Amino acid sequence: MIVFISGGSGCGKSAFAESVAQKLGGELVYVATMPIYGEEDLKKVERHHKLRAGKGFRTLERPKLLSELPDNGETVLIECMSTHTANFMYDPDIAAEINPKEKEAVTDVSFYTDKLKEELLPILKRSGNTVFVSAEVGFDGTAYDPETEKYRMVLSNINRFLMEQSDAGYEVVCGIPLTIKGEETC
Amino acid sequence: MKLYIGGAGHGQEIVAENETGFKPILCSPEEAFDQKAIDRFHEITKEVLKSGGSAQEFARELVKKNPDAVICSNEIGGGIHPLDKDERIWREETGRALCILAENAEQVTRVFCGIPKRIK
Repeated sequence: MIVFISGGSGCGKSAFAESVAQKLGGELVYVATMPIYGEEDLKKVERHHKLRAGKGFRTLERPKLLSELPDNGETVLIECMSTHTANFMYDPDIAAEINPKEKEAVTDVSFYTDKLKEELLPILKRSGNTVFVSAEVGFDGTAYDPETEKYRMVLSNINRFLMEQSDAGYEVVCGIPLTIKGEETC
Repeated sequence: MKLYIGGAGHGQEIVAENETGFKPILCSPEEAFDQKAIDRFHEITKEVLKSGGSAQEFARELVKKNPDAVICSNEIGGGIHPLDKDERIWREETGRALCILAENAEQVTRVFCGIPKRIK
């Protein structure tokens, strides 16, 4: 089963995603996508560690590509697609890997959207459950610089793609999961 | 406690007044403890944080001291991660404070383009 969970900052989506993964059961794997740059990030990681403590997750760090995820029936929780999309678009190693010859020419939204979808396809075919956590970035009126707008569009495209691919989709609001798609089983 | 949330300008304070009969009032963090209906909770958390307090602690205190309050707030977490650290903290802490209010409220209503949807 594929579950997609999104919501704004501080809405309680992590706690909900963990409970969904626990309900789905099996061996639990948490895939952390956030690269750590400073004290604020460390605090965030610490908070997430506390939140997950005692819930039975094994943690895998994937601050670059979402490669080599386990595929033996485990329930994998991937958090978060917003940081993963940023890693994918801005990590210099990944840029070299996905587009070695035309690094300068990579400017359009569809290029990154397609490459990201390509990367996600094997994960969508995993034998176990996959729970994706993402972030909502389309609900403000701020006009950003072109680069940020590009990121926002790529992430929104990926969010739509994952919602389409999922068996169940939720938006979390003030800690309350709203069912967008699928049965209210989670 | 009744919580009304929505994006900027979606009409949560209008729906709150129509449904409860109390007009939501703009107030300071201290005044919030004895208001019947509070408007723009997200600005109160900004003030709390500015004076060095914790938005989540404030939410817990509000639940304790004003358990029957009607509270309106904008949802502010749905954009791009802000570059400014204070803005980032405000955005996230307001989200968590709203989770605390929602958990303790008997009713949570989300207003979208003026249309209320009861989510708790």
